[in-house]
Amino acid sequence: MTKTKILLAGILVLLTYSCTSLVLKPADFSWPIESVLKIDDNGYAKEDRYAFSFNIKPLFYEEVKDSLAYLDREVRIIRNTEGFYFITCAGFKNVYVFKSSDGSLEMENKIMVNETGLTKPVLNQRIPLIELIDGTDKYYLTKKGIEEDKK
Amino acid sequence: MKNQLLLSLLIMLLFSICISAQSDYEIVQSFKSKVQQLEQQLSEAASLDELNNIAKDIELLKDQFSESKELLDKSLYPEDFNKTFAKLKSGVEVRALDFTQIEVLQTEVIVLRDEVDRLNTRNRELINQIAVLQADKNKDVETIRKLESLVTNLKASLFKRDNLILGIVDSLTPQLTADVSSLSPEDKQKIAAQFESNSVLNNVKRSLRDHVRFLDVTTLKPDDIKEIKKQQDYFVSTWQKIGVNLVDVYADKIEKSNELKEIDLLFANWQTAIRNEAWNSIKEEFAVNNIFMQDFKSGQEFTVELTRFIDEEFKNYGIKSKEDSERIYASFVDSTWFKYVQPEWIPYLIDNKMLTAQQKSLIEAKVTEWKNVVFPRDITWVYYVIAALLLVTFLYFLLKRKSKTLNAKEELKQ
Repeated sequence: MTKTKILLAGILVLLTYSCTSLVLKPADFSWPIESVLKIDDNGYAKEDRYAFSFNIKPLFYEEVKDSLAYLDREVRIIRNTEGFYFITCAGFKNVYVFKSSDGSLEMENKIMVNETGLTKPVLNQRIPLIELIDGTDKYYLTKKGIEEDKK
Repeated sequence: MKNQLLLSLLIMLLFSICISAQSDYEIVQSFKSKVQQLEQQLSEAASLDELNNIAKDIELLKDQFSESKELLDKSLYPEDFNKTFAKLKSGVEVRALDFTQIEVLQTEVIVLRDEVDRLNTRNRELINQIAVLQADKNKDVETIRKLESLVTNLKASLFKRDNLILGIVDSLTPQLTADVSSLSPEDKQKIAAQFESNSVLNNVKRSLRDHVRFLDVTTLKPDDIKEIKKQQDYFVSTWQKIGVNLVDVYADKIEKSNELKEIDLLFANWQTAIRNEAWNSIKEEFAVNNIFMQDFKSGQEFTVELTRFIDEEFKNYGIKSKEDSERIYASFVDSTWFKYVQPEWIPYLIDNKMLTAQQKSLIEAKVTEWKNVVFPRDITWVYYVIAALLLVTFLYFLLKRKSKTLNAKEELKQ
């Protein structure tokens, strides 16, 4: 019985090993600078250099509970080395962290930065962190949140 | 010196603080905007000095952003920091070459313009001198020689000025030979300004008027007219290429458009003057031999006038004295028609389609007819021969009769 268990466990280990997908690493997804995207009338933000676009309306609904709040607004977006997108906008309290998924951006984290809302946020690439400047305030972000010791 | 160094350090420190508190995006945008501004200034630079200042600004920009080189290298895709400045510097070099060429051409234009001014004055003087000498009815050999020399000088001078004017146009606007419709309104404005500052249209008009005036005051030979016609063809073809584009350049300037129309009209006048010059010179050839005819301006009028003149002589034959008729015939036919008109002018007229072969034959037939009237074929010798024959016959019979009489008398004596 014990022998059978050991045999089954060995087969399982072999199967798991042979099913592991191919991994290319290290990979750097970082954008050198943020992109400032104007939202079109249909609620889409289009990035020309990296050639992708996405529907931003749900993000505004999430932030201000108004899916029409995107009109005449600009969002700031930057991608860190791990490939997570950091998105925010003037007036937002949070920085949203997304990862790419099948034909969509899936929220990874929502980082509360300022209870009263950001006035003039900018995002900079400071590998391995993302720097958020709002006026005189500076924050350093990871996908998990604010790096407190860097603040 | 120390203060200056401190000030520079302070400025650099403030600048770096400023940069460090800035968004990377803003730095890149600011850089792109400044580069774009410099490119714009480069394309609009109007002098070499201006270009040198831009070159200094480019160096300054490079210094200012050298700290952000890494960021810019990553962000200026597909360019990078060094490529951007290399492109700007190459822009400066290209424009500098333009300005060097423009300066050379401008110097050339100044020299040409001065020469045109000098020739304008000289031509005016020559035309006046020729007009005075032409008006003199009693030209002696010396006057005629002087006149011929002046005409030769003036002709050469007019041709030289034409070439100078075309040279100015050529130097001013190499781009005029290209597609003008693709030029911006500013470029068109520049070309128009260059034309105005060098009085190109005025010089062309003056040249055309002088050509017409030259033809007015001179009596030319077919070879001279051929030469003028050749020059005119060259001037016309060169001007047409430029003129078409100038119409586009001056499209929104009514005054200048009218000037271009005036130039077209002057070209037409010059062409007409050349045609008329041939007819006037032929008329003048007859007038020199005291044969005064009415004006003719075409082959048809020429034929009609010559045949009319000969018909008049037919009518007057017998009314006028024989000597007068013969003198007019000799002046017309021998001294003018066969000496100058037929050998020199008729081939020119036919070559330039100003006279048809049929019209020529008509005139020649008329001249032959005239000769037969004035100098009918002499048959006096026939009468002399008949008279001589009659005399010989008469003498023969007389001698024969006399010998018969003598024989009869001798027979009677015997």
